[in-house]
Amino acid sequence: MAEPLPLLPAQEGIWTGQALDPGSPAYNAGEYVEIRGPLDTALFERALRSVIGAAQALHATFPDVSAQVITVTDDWELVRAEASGVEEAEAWMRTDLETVVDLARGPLFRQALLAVGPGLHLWYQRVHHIAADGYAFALLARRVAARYTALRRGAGDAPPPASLAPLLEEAAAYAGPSGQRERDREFWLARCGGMLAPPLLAPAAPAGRRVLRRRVELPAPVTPETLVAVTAAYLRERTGAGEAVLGLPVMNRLGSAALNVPCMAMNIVPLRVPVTPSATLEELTARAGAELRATRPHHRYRYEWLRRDLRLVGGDRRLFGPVVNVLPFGRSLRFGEALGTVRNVAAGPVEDLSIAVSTGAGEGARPYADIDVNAAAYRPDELDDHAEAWLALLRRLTRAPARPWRAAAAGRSSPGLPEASVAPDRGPRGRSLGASVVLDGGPLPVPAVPVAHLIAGRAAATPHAVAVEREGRRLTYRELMEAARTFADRLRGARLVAVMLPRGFEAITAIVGTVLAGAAYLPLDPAWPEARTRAVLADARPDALVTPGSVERLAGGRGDGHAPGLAYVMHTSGSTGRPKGVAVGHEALAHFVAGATGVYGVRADDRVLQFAPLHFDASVEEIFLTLCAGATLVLRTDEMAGSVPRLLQACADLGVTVLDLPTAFWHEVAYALSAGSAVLPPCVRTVVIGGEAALPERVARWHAAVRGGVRLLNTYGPTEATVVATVAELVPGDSEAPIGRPLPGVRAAVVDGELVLMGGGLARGYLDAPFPVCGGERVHRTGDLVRVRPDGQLVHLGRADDQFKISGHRVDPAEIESALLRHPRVREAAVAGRSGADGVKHLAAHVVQEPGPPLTAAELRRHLTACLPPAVIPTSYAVVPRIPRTPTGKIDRDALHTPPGQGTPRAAGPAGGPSAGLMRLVVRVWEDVLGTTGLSPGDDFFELGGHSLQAVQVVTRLSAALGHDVPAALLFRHPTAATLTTALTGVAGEPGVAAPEAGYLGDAVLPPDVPGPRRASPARPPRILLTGATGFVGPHLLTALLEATDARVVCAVRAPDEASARRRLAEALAAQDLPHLPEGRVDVVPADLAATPLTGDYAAVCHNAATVSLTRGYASVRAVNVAATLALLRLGAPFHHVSTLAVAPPGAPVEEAYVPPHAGLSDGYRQSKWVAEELVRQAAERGLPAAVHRLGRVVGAPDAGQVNPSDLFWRVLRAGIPVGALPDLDVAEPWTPVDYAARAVAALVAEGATGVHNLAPLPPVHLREAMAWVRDYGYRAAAVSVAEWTELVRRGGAESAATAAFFDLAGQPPPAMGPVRCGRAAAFPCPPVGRQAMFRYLDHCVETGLLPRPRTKGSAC
Amino acid sequence: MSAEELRTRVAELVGELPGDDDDLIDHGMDSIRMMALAERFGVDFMDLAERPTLRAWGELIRG
Repeated sequence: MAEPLPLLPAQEGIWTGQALDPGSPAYNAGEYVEIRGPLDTALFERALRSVIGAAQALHATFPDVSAQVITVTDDWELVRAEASGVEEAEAWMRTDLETVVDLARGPLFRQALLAVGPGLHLWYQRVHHIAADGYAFALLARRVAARYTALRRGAGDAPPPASLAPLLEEAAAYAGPSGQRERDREFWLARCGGMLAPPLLAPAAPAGRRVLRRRVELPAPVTPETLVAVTAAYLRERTGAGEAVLGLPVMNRLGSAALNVPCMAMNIVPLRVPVTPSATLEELTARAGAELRATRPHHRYRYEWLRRDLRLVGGDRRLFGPVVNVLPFGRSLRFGEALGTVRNVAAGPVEDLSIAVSTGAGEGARPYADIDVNAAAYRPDELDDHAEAWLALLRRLTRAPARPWRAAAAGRSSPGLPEASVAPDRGPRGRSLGASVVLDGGPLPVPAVPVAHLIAGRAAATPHAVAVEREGRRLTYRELMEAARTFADRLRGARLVAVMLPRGFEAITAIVGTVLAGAAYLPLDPAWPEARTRAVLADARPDALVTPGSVERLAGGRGDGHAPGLAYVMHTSGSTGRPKGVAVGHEALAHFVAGATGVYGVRADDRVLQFAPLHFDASVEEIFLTLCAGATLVLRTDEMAGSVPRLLQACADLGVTVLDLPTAFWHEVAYALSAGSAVLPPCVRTVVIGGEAALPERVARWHAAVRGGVRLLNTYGPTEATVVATVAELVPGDSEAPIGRPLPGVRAAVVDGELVLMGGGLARGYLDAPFPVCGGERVHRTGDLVRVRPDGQLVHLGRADDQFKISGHRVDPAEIESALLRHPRVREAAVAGRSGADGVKHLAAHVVQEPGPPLTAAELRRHLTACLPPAVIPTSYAVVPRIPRTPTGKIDRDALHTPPGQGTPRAAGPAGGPSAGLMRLVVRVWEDVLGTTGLSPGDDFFELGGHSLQAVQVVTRLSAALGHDVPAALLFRHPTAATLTTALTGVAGEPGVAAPEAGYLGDAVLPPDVPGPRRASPARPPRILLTGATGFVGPHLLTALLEATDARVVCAVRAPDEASARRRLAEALAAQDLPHLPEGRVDVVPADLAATPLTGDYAAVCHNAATVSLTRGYASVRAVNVAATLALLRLGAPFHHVSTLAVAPPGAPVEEAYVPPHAGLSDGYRQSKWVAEELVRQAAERGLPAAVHRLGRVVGAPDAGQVNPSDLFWRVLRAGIPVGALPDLDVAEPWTPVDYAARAVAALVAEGATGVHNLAPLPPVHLREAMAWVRDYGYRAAAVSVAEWTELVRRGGAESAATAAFFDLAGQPPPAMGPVRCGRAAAFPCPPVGRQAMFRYLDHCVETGLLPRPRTKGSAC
Repeated sequence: MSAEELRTRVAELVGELPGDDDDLIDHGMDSIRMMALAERFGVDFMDLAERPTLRAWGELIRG
């Protein structure tokens, strides 16, 4: 008996369904092929038997849900009978379909050949759904037809067995650490979480055993999108529901081995289709298409799983309503001279209603739809009614696709009223924007005029009006213009002007003057720490610096290298903590002013408070909306923001009419007003808030306390969208605080729940990283999750990156905070997720309470239990004096922590034990070094942002305090205060304290004598220094550099003399079939980089040399990978460092940023490459233009097929194929084709790029899949565990033994790499690496003798 | 129905022009698009699905 196999996920669903009602025949599917013409029935039976014999899935039995046993047998009967006509035959089939199948015993199928008069045979198959889906039926029919036809000609081989094994491998890979299943799950949870019950045409009934069917002929073929659109409209017509949720069967086979395997693989995915009465069929169809595109990458996630995830299992709960399907497989078949037409008799169980459209086959055939219903839910007359009405709607809508469907359905003309702001996707075409809905702010009400012109116009029209006012001093528009022009003259052509001035006349004058001069300003806060100022200056490289009373020209500015037409550059703190400069053009600023002025209602008689710091873009709103409107800008003093009553009193004294406040501050205002401790001055008529989510609770307080007539505008906009993108007027009675609709001129799309902004108001992008352009316009993904309300307003749901999951539940801290605030004695609340020492995540709540007896955790928990699901109730509670906030007033979630002694009991820790004092010391030292307070024992030093230098500081201080040496390695191995304390208590007795890892960190400090950029008169033509030209990437890189630049390329080659260096280079080029070098463009210098320093002036250094070793320790690769990098950095030339994605911490997303040291730097190679990046990073901090280009596993150019024989993957094949076994490596990793890598690096060198670039534009390659390709190629190689494989190859020669040694050393494979961000480098074309490329690589291996020829070679298709 | 029309149509559907032997699924071809092509060119969906390259499809259309 054969080995039991697991079930495919699709089979599990069917098995479960059958097990719920073992006596039901509903899972039988049946089809027949009408064969017209002469048929040799004996030959037919031979053909049929060979095809069925090869279809393993049909021969399975299922002892239980965990196993199937395949026993292929030819011992089954082909029923042969005669029928008087097709009707009689069909009746026989319907009776046969009532057969109840026992999955534990089989058989799963029945075959019959019914003769109906001369020249007409009906070949009938019944197969249980667990063994076949619609595609499988079609596949079987085609194969029998082809086989029969071949046998008639006396030709053809029996079909090869169609095994389930590759499908099971695919399923395991999908569910495995590739993370795809988890990602798909998150996608669907985000898409369907919170979905209302799908509208149905009849009350939900339990899945019955009987299905009723009506067949209707269609006037013309329909596409799946049209079918979805019409059916969604039909549901709206019948139920009034604004959104249809339809089930769409998907074949789930493209790109899978299942394409050639008759089996059950299909899935059903829920499609959400909003239907508004005035949408046209075209619009609905576009919506359906967008929904299809957006969900397509996630179609493998089983709907049974999703139902379980969404708690929609059992009872009357439904994930989707009607199921709609267009069958793509129905064309005619040839059986020798006879012609076959496929007819479906039963398609399996129907939960509610299903519409399946077939194209029809044969002469004059019309497309038709089979409408099936669950007989337990619909009566026959109801089915007839639906079939008729649905068909009528389809006819009417397809006749008038451009008319509002309601009108088209009624046969009336359009009422002419435009739909509300929710429009179907008219967004940029392309797969990247599978938007389900686009919100359009409409056209600008006035033309976008540059702000300099508007302000000058105001000055000309009302020269004596007050432009700026501060503490009683006033500057009229004429005075402002004169001062600004004088200032502009002092800029003398500077393109980017750093303005480091406190709030005051001088600052406003400088900003207006810079804009008048056609330059851009870069605000710097005089209160910033010097390091931040330096980092921003190094990033932006302005041409001039304005400080009180001085305009200083800066060396090192980009001058004309700055993008033309910028208005300002503002730095945001990226998630990495490094400032990112957002470059906003004059066009975008003009666009914003034109769109916002009318919405805010700013008038010439307004007095607008200038509240925001000048380096926040809220100040742009205050300054330019005011001055462009001819109103007065009232500058606040620092004292005014000291308290709410003081601010409001000042507003009253100054007659402020428009108040623009950060939401965090406004929350205080709303609270103070409702508590009666402050009063809103009567002069204030509009309050604009923004910067973080407004709390509905505070909005309610505000409305209760503030008289009508004061407008409260809630604005939303990232700096990248030029201040504000959407605005809502918050009105009483709204239980939410929406962020509203796009400003005029702004368009917003909601893609997978994330808000994407488009339109002329967008910034150009980041300095050196413009936003991607999609369909001719810029696009910015905000990272903010939103939802569209039926009234067309957006509701902010949180940051995509703030959300985290607790036990599989998506948790939004804001939601819990909001619930906490509803407690009458909670004044402020903040919630953060924390990973405990045991790795288990939990939620911690922090509250500031009203005066009174202390709030208890039990009290808070009781309160929350009343309004939140259990999974998101925090486990620990702390009453704190204040909530930590970022400088912008947002809750600083990173700074939140659980104070010891509060909340849930901790794992036995040293808090009260003998090492409590040591723990306190550790925590104190960390706090000193990291510059923070309130750390807890479970905090991870590196997660807190600690980097190598700080690690060294920590161990230095600890060593001094403890009186013995503490190695830095100890901190790396024990990164939490608790574990470090434990380790320190045992350190005296721990042998080998001077751990070898300590060595690499010592190298990670750039010596102080390494200079910043050298000022050199570059040679003509410019010269580029390239290292590592003789490796695998090097020859390609050399070729690409010669193409991308006009430079001479100097190749430093390790060789005793120039002649042998040249020879090595020529050999390296020839080995990869690259052309000879052009005369006169390449110099070759023999050099040992680590030993003898190079000198010379280079336009750029491209450092590509590295020792790649899987087994060597740090000390042995240090010379090439670290020392050479340091030596080359000393040249002081713009630096391009070729690195590896292997430096990234495993498991976490790989950002395009330098990384602090982490535990994943487990071998000498990774350590050395990390140290090299760290040196480059520090050199960049000193002002050297430097870039790091990180490659994945480098593979040959897919169209040429070369391989790097020393790469691990090929070493594994070379060791494994001769012994017929390959290791089962459950790892997905990015692969970077060498030709792409070379083109991208060369282009980035040519454009003078800086920063970190991940060169991984392709989806990661799962090694199991790659191994499957190798098998498809024809190699017989069993998948065995790594341990088994290592033993198998160990005896296979020195090379194999070395490969085995790597696996011995590596132990467990590291956790998979997280998703890799690939920004700039994604713009360069990259050939795909898939089965086809693998076949070419293997062809090349065979040609060059690296691998033996496979016995039979597979086809790449 | 020419090979050129096929290339144009495929390029429209996937937003780029794949190489003759590229796996079109790698280029984003899905069953829905494939079905549209099958209808347009009067060939069988499954023939397209089995060998998703421009070269194979060109042969199908000529055949």
